[in-house]
Formats: sequence, structure tokens, C-alpha cells
Amino acid sequence: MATEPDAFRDRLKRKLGLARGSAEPAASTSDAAPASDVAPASDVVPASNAVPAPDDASVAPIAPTAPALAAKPRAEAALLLERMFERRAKRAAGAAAPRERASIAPLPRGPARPLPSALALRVNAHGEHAELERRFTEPRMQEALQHLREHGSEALRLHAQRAEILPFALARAAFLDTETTALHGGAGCTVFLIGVGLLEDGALRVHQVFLRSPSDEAASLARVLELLEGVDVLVSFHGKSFDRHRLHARLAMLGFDSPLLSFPHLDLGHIARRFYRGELRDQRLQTLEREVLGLHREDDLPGSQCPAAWFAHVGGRPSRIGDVFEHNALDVASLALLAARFAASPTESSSGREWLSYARGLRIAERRDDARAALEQAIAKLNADSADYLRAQEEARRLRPARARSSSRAKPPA
Amino acid sequence: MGVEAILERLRRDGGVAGNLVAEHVVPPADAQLSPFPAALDPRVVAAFRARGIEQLYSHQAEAIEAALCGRDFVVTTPTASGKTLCYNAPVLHEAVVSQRASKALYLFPTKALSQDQVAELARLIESGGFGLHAATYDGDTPPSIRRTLREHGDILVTNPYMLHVGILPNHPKWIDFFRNLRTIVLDEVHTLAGVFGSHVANVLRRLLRICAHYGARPRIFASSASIANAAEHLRRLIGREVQVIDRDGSPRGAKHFWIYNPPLLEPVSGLRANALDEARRLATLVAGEGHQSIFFTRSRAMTEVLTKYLKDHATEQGRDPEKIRGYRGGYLPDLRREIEKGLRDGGISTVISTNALELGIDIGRLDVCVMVGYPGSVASTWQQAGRAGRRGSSSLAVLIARGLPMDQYLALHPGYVFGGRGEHLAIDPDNLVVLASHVRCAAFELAFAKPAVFGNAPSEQVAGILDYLAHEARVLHDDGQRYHWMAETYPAEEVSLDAADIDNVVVVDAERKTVLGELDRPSSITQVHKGAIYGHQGRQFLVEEFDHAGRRAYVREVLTDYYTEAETETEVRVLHLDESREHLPSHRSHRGEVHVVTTATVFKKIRFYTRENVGAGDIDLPPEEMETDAWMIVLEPEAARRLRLSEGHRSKGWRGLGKLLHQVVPLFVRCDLGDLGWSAELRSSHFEAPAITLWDDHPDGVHLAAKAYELEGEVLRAALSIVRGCACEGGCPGCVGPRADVGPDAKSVCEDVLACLVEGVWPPSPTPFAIA
Repeated sequence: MATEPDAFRDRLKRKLGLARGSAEPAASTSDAAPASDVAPASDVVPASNAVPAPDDASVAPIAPTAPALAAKPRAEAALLLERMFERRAKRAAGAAAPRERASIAPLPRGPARPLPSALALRVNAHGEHAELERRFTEPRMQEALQHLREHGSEALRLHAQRAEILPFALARAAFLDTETTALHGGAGCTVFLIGVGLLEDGALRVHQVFLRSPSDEAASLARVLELLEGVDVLVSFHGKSFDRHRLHARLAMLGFDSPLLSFPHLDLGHIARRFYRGELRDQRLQTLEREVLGLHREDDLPGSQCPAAWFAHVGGRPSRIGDVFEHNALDVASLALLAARFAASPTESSSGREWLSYARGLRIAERRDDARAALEQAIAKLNADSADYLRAQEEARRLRPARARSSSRAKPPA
Repeated sequence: MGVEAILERLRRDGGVAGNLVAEHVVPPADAQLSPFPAALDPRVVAAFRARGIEQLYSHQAEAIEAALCGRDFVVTTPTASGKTLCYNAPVLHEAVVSQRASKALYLFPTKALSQDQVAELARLIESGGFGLHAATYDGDTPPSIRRTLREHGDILVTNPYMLHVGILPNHPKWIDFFRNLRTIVLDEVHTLAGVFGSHVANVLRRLLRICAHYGARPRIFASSASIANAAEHLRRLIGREVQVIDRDGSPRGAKHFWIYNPPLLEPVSGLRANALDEARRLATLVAGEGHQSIFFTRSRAMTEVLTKYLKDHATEQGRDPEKIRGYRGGYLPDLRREIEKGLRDGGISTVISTNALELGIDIGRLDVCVMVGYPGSVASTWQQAGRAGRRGSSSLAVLIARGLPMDQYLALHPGYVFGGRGEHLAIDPDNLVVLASHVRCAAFELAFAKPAVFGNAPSEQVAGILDYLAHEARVLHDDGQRYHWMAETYPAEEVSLDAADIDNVVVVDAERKTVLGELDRPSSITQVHKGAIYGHQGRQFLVEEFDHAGRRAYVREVLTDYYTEAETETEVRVLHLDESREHLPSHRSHRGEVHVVTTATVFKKIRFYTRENVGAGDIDLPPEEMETDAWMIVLEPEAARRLRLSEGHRSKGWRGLGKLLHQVVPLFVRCDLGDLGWSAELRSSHFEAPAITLWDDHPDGVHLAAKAYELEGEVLRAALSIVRGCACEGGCPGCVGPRADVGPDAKSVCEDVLACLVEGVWPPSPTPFAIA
């Protein structure tokens, strides 16, 4: 009977081309559930000593008793299993570019870097979660935050071109960036690191809530909701179409009431596209960082490699998980710097596009006179054969006094 | 022309009447009427009354009562007996009574069916003034309205593919819908057979698992063509016991069902006239204007050839060829809609179709149905025959037998079809590969808590698969209590429910730069190889280039007098045996796994009408490869010696037996001939003895050969009765194959072998040639 466990296992192995007994399944990976034996004495416990941080990346912490040779057949088995499951799909995919597969996560290039030592364990009603706090106090950041605060970030809110953003000064904004296991929005896409940046006196405080394993999810998400209490606007980079939906889905699956979709949300990605479309190579955050803010990251772990690092970490393998924290924190910091940049009112040297964006914002804010003045600046600066010039003309039509518009429309046919 | 007049004309036609070998009249029946059940909300009753329905047929009332008592049901009454009302009424009742707090999900096997269904629901909702939202949600739904439908749709109509790849993996977007899901409707569940059905059964396990996560336990209403094991099929499909409703209460006119056996051309060889030519001949008698006819063929290519023939004929007769249309899968949706509409409003008088029109697509009722060849199952035969039959007037269905054993068996044993019990549907939801694929998808959708439960799948299998995915493939993380998805991939995208699902080849008209149609990859190597003629609405297109890797075939319209047929070569290797039985001293039977490689080798150019071979060419395409399950019959060497299989012409007879068995097995296990592959070797390299191998022509097996292995005794007895009952002298296409193919002794060899296998009767020992 194929349903008996042994026969079943044999059949599975045979399908995978494994000779019986040649590859005993690894004894359950002894990845030593982190911190499970460290009783939280208080609400906050430093976790650095509880999290395994292999010094030598070459020592695989899996199955220490398994003979070294066993590793090879297992890797082959995994590949064969993939092949078995995906045989049809591969034929189907045909000439289409093979989808990137990271289920057998390769170790991202670069040395393994363990969890940050300052990572703390916290407890709430939903259980334990890990969180890292980091303050950005560099002069440049201080300057930027001061700018945001002092100028009430008015230009930024106008550039957002959304009426619901206008009432909120950004003093109580949360800068949000998440790391997820995939780019698709399916139920299997986990948000494993959530960076929330809040303005403090003279600093940006970034809270990084981290899932040590999927079972931390409820406690972690509850913590994120807690961090968002008192926040009145979210600031992100293309988070309106990505991050907030991923978080919303996770919250919904776990039965939380999710405020994510109803939050006023200022998406810097949209503004960046308006300002730099066709001008920069692309409008990704790191490109803007380099080209607009003049910043340069060293040894950054590309975002595309973050999921693999987390998979390896959860599986107890050496990984660059520490670099994921760094990557995410810098992303959040960049959001604040970029927001400050966009919060500067346009000047003589600003581009026609910037003026056009500003003019639209003013029109949406019902400041039509100001809008007309800004639009004049825009039209003067824009190239007459550009698409933006046409957009400016359209904007001018909308800004025409209501009477003029209605009379022109009501003109009877000759 | 009325059907009675057509019948009269056929009976009088000297060339035709003699070929009508069996007639079955389904007598007219009066309606069995029932009032609306008292428990049905009066507003719903009023909506049906407003649509002109004053009373119900008895089976409809039975279904509604079952539903109102909270039972699941399957209704298996014939085509056009008002099955949709059986589930629409309780679904509307639930939605109205709960004040729109009850949602329903309809699952239809094809997109075309869902369009029809939504139109009907919309009319009901409007006449009841319910303010409910019914809509299709499938791949064609514009992204801009998807969110609205998810949030405000009351009744959503979709298909298994969309559910599998679009809806279930994104269930967090559907929380409100799933939380309030009260009813799942499965239409045409007889189409959920074989590997496709096994996949859908697992998609349903995933659906019910997600519903349970959100606290819902929807009822399931199903409809089906008549099948022998409806209750068992549903049990396998959804893991529940359902009430079977099979007493038809709808009225019908008399249906004349004839089996037409083309005349013998050569009594010695048993060669019969070609079925397609006979269809053409019948068409001149049964097709015409003033009534509507449908012709079903067994392949896309034959649909195109017959369409051309009938259009040519109409042109010769001075009639409008545009009233004659072909219809098949692979046409683009707009063209299909146009033809369906033409059939409904009478603009089209004759349609030639593959089984694409067999399902409940709304084309109204026609007068005459001609099936060119046995459709492969009794259920399909009655579905197709059911396309003809207007209320209160007679209808005609003709099944033209081809020169194939299955068809000839039916010509000899018409009771097999007329008895109408339908066959047993075979699905195997616990098939290792199918199950594992969907456990993987399910793990993506929700973490599996230990001990893992996945519908009624054997728990140790599920546990084994999860263990494997976690510790070997590492796409799951096992934290001791749960298995969590731990990969960047989207597994549903990598699991295709059937070959035709996503793996499509697009046929491009290179001249007009338009897409002409599409077809599935496995059939592409024989249909659109370079040099093939691709038929479309009776027109011919030459394939100029086939980009196999890019899945595109470039064609150009040509005027030719031929069509093409490709040949394939298949190689089979035994991988291992799972189960064996000894039937000594004659043979052993085995169930096991084989590796099959199929290569398209050459194609023939065949002239229309005369079917002369007017040329040939080579095909240079990569082979199709797969591993699959097989049933093997291996003769004992001593038996082979006593049966004198190695002697002269007798050796070819072994091949005849393989051919015969291949065609008999589908009588016992619901599948198409194309679902099974076969080979007959006189000396198998694996067994070193004569062996016949039949395998599932689907990667990794679909429980067909395995079932044939279990039913071996019955299969062999049926094969013996065909050989003994066949009137031919030395083998014919109706039994072991034409002499040209299997040699002059094949029939006696097959009879000898089968008598030995079934009855243990040995042929008289050959007299030893002795020199005194």
C-alpha cells in the first residue's frame, strides 16, 4: 500500500532518484530556537547573547552529527524535488525568462553578518518579538528634520497633490519601509522586517521590528500597530502600492484590524517620478540617494538578496541578516532626507516640473492665485515640445476662472 | 424541415437505411411538476414567476428542498433539464434572507460557460429586484473592477484555473468574501475527471481549508451529466457525502437515437467506408435550412475538414456557406461568441464542432445531432445527443461508428450507449504528485499546523510531503508546531491543472499580423510543425515556421487541396514494478512506472475527398518525455511457444492484441483513447518475453493504467467477446486491426491468446514435425 508511511517515503525517494538509505533525512536541524531558554527578566532583554552568531561562517550549524558527505545528496534531492514539482511549469514557461528561484537560498555574496547585538526582545499580549532601535543624529539629518519641522513641510504636502495629506504637518509622520520575502502579493509573502522612522528632538529614531521566525508575526505586527498610534501620516517610497498592502494582508490574515489602507499616506515615489521622469536612469530610492542627495552606500546588501538572507537565518544557516538591518535602516533614513528635499519650496533654480507639481498642489489646496503664479514659472521653464508642457497647458485650462470656463462652454453654436 | 420528415427521408434512402444498425427511441415524457417548496423565500419565488416559471420540475423541487435542509447535492439530469435553477434558487434564497450577508462562488469548467451563467443570474436578480451583484471573476476581468467585485460581489462565477492561481493564493484580499461564503456551486462535474479532476479536487481542498480558516463551511451544490458513480465521484472530489438527484422531471419530445455503421467496402479485410465521408453523405439528408444541425467530430483537424466539405457542398447547391460554421477550442473568444449567438438566433443552420460545444454553453436547442465517431464516453455521448431536442417536438441523434474497435463494439452492442448508465469517473486526488503540488500551494496560503490536515488526504502522506518540503527542499520552515512558507516563489504559478491550461502555443497569421488561434503544447508537435496545414473555419493555412521554444507558429493562408497528418514514434522503458500478479502458466501482470519518449517524425499530405497520399515531409522538433504509470501483461515464454507467437504471420498478431486492449480499456476507465499510450513487443528487453504495456499518457500517472490493472479480468473478457463477436474473416479495424497492419493471422492469434489468458484454454499443440 502506497499510503503506508514507509512505502510512501520510498516512493517519494524513488521519484527523486534517491537510493534507499543513501541520504538519511537530517536530524531536525539543531538551530537552537533563539532565546527560548532566556527568560525575560523584564520587559526588555538584550538578545545578543541569546542569538547564535557563528563567528566562522564556513561552519554550517545544521545537523552537526550528519557526516559531511550527506550534504551533497540532500542538495541534489532538493533540486530533484523542485524538478518534480515544476516539471510542468518549466515546459509551460517555454521561452519566457526563467523565474528567479531562491527557494534553495544561496548564501548571498559577502561575509556572513549576524544579528545586531543591540537587538532586544520585547513582550506584548501576542508574545515575543525582536526590535532594534537606532537614532540618526548626523548633522545632515538634524538639518533635514529641522527643515521639515520649521517649514511645516508645506511644499512637500502640496507636491503630494492629495487633499487628505494637506492638514498634517509631518512632525507626527512615520517613515515606513519593509523587507518582504517576495515581490508578489500572495499569502505566502511574509513581511519580516518593518522599519518605522519617527521624528524626535534632533534625531530620527528608527524602530526595526524583526521576525526571528514566522511565529513572531503576531507580536511583531502588534508592535508595529503600537508604533503607529499617534502617527497621522505615513511616508514611504512606493509604499502605497506595495508595503502597506503587504502589511495589511498580514494583519488581516491574523485577524487584526488593519488601519494601513485608511492611513493618510504620502508616497515620495510618486513625487520622485514627477520630478525626475526621463531625467535619471530610473527613479529607485538608491538612485535618488546618489543623484539627488549625493549619498553613497558602502557594502549595501541589495534588496533583492534580503529574502535569501532571512531564509538562511531562520533555517539556522550563516547569513548576512545583519546587513538587512543596515539596508532597511538606511532606506528609512533616506526617506526622511528625501522628504526634506521635497519640502523645500521651489526657487528660481527649480525645474519647470517641480513648479508644475507645486502648481497642481496649490490648485488642489484651493489656492488658485498662488497656483497660477507657480504655473507661470513652470510654463516659462518647460520645453515647449515636452509632455510636461502639455500637462502644464492642461493645468492652465483647469485654473482658468470658473466663469470664463463656463461661458466658453456655454457658447451657443453659430 | 421537421425532424419527422428527416427521419422519413433517411428511412427511404436506399444508401443510408441499410447502415442504420440500431435505433433507440427515448419516448416523449410529460413534465413532472411540483410547486415551489414552501420554505423558499416568497421573493425568490416571485422572481422566478416574473421570469415565467410558475411551477418546478420535480428534480428542481427536490434539489431546492435538499438545499434548504442544509444538505449538499449533485443533480445529474440530462442536458437542458433546468439544472441551473436547482442551485440558483437556494443561492438567491440565502442571499435575500441574509440580507446580502451570504456569498456564493460558482465554479465552471470554462470561461464561456460562466458568461452564460452570469447573464441568467442577472436576469433573475433584476426581476426579483434583489440588488445583488453577480459577476464573472476570471483572467479577463479588468483589474480596475476586481477590488469592487471582491468587496461587493454576492455571487462570483469563476473557473478552477483562476481559483487555483489567482484567488486562493491571494486570500487575504478576499477575507470578507470567504468569511461569508455560504455556497459553492460546481457545474459539469463530469468534466472534472482524470488528472484534471484530481487537480481540481485538491484546489477544492485548498478552498475549503481557507474557508475554514475564516470560519466558514460552505455547502456544495453540483451538477453533472449522467454518470454511474455520481455519489462516489463527489465523495472523491469534495470529500463529502452528497444527495444524488437523478429523477428527471422535465418534459421532452421523442428522441430518435440511431447508430450508423458505414458500409463494408471489403468484407474480407473488414474495411468500412470512412466515417467522415459518411458524415458528408448524411449531411445532404439531415442538414439544411429551416432547422438546425450540429456535427460533433473527434478532433480539431476533422472539424476543419468537415467544415470545408459542408461549405463546399452548400456553395455547389447555391446556398449560403456562411450559415455553416466550424467551432472548436483555440478560436478566439469573440469568434466563439459570434457563433454561439448565431446558433441561438437561428442565423447559423449547421455547426461542426469538437466537444467544445458539448458543455452547457447556451446555444439553444437544435434539431439534429450527428456524432462522427464515439465521443469516448457514454456521458459525453448523451451530452452531445442532448444538444438536439426541442420541447414538444422530436429530435434526431446519429452516432456514426468509425472503423475502430470501440466504435464497432458499440455497433454490435448498442445497449452500452442506450442503456445510458454512464461510466465510472476515475480521479485520484491522493496521487502523490498532484497532492504534493497542492500541499505546496496550500502551505504558501496558510501555515500548516501539526498534525497537518489537508481535506481527506491521508494524513501520513501529507505529513511526509510537508516533512520533505521543509527538510529537503527547504521551502518550508518547521518551527516545531507549524510549517511556514519560506521561499520567494509563487507555487500556484508552477502547477498547471491540465496541459492546455497555461502552456499554449499561439498561431499567428504572418501575413495579416493577427493571432488566429491557440493550441496546447503537447499537440503542437503534430499540428503546427513546419509544413503542416492548419485549418481555420474551413480555410487552410500553411505553417511556415514553428518557434517551438517561443511557443509561436507562423502561418500563411494558402489554397491547397490537401491537409496533413503527422506520425509519432514512441519509446518506452520500464523503470520499476510496484505490484505483480502471477497467472501461471499463461502470464504475469504488473503495475509499475515507465519512461516514455515521443517524437514527431514525419507528416503525410492527404488530398481532400479522395484521401490519397500526395506527399510527405520530415518533422524536426524536440521530443516529449515523461515518466508515468503503466500496466504490463507479460506472457510466459512457454505460453508464447505454445501459442506459436514467433511463427511467421502470427508474430504480428501480438501487436493486434495491444491495439485491441488500448481501445477496450476506455470502456472501463473513463478516459479518451489519447489518455492512454500502448506498445506491444514480442521480446521486451526488460522482461525478455512478449509484453504489452499500456500507460497513462500524462506525466506521473492518473490512475488509469493502475485501474485497468485492477480490472484486468473484465478488460480481457470484453476484448475476447469483441474478437469472437466480430463478423470479419481475418481481423478488421473493428477488432484487432486491419490485416495490412497486423497480418492475416492476427484475429486467430488474439482469440488464442485471450482464450488462454481468460479461460485457460490452450490451442491444440502443433503436431511436431517429425521425420519417421
